[in-house]
Amino acid sequence: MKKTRWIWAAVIFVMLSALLLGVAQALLVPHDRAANPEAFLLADYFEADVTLDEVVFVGDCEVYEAFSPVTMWQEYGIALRVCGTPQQLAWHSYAVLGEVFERSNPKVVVLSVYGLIYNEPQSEAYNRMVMDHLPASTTKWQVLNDAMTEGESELSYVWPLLRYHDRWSELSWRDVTTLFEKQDPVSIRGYLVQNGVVAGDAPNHEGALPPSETAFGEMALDYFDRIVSLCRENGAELVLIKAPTDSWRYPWHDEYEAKAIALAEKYDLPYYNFLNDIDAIGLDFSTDTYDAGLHLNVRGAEKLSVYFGKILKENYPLTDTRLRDHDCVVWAGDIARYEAQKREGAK
Amino acid sequence: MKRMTLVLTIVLVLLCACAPAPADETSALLLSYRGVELTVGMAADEAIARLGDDYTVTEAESCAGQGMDRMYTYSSMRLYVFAPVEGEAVVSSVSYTDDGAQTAQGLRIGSTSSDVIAALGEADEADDARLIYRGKGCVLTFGLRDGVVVSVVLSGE
Repeated sequence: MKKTRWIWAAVIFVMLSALLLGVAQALLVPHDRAANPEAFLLADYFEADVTLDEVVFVGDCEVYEAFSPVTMWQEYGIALRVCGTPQQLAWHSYAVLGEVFERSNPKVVVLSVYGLIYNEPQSEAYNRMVMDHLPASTTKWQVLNDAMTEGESELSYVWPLLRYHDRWSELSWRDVTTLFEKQDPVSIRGYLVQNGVVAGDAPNHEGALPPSETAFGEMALDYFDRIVSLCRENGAELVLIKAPTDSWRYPWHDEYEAKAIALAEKYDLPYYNFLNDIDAIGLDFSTDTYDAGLHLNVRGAEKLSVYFGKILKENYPLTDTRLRDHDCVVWAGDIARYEAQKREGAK
Repeated sequence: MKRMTLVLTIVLVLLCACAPAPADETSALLLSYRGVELTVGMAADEAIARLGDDYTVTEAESCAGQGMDRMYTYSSMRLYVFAPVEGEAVVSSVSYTDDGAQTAQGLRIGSTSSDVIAALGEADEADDARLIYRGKGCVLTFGLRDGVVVSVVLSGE
């Protein structure tokens, strides 16, 4: 009788501990999407129905702040989604693409080449914006080994409470309320609307540090090679792009351009550097950037999307999904949110 | 039951206990400008106060609001600063822009690779285009063209 009582006590103890730890984790791991939208761009992806996506963009801010899926759909009927995150590096893009191909069958994958200038892990914060959202898989754990910065532990990606346990002193009432509400997506199919206008000079990298000696280094190129193989195994065309921005903070040196061109030639891939097409796109850096030329605002992104959408439409066998009733209904919701965010920003 | 409550409390307290992060070690590599020794990771406010106010500054927010990057341009040197959302702004890189700036050893843009090696010893890495010296958490790079220094950059590792 006494033994049975001890067994029950142990069971209750384990269950109560699990419950408390579960609640603590849910509360302490950052989950307020409005507070840091960029951290939840991939959460939007994993909550969406992505099965009919035909074009998927991967990479850093050069994709999620430069291409408007709504514009590409309205102009050309392209079913597009952006899977970008801040400073998404080659190994991150590889891990994301693995999940993309698990969920959909895109005909075209567009990769921003800017991430290839980094050959080593850069920041835990940016790691987590990708890796925390990926479901457990062999690929995730393999990539984590290469992606983690000094001091990070794999275990904290399995059990994030280990990483965020000291956030209790920063908790606000909103951390509690957002636990119980369905939060809106932060993006429009992965595109983060930026309405601001802060004029900048035409793209140039006056004042930038010299080219990184490790740009297009061994690890970056190894993951690039894996990305190429993954796309080919899944029958998707890989297209390389460079957004039409160049600044002291995010410079695009001639040395990088030469390496990007050589890489495209080596793998026989198309490469579009939109810095060469600024006039053809119609970009005006007195109106089309929200941070003095580092990134495009929504006005600039729409111009670039019209330009690149035409290239995609003419060169790849993409369906005009505007002709399908189902797609029109799905897109109507995205378009309504997009227009609302543009109106909100225009106030 | 009391024992169980005690154990649960201990578990939670342990989980919430905050372990302080190890302090950054100071870099051993320095660049000088106007007699001020500059290194990666040093407090930016202090450096700027000592360098004087004849600079122009450009700033940019990081992609995800992790902080601000600032570039202070002086007549012969650029000071790159990272200002996190919370905490102290620190020097992230230093770059000489012309021969008006020189290191404590007298090395400047226009010096020869032999001058650099004579002053600092053999580089940790060297080729025709650069001499690289590595310190704790930072790298000092002398860019070369035809054996002459064309750039001097101290940056994070």
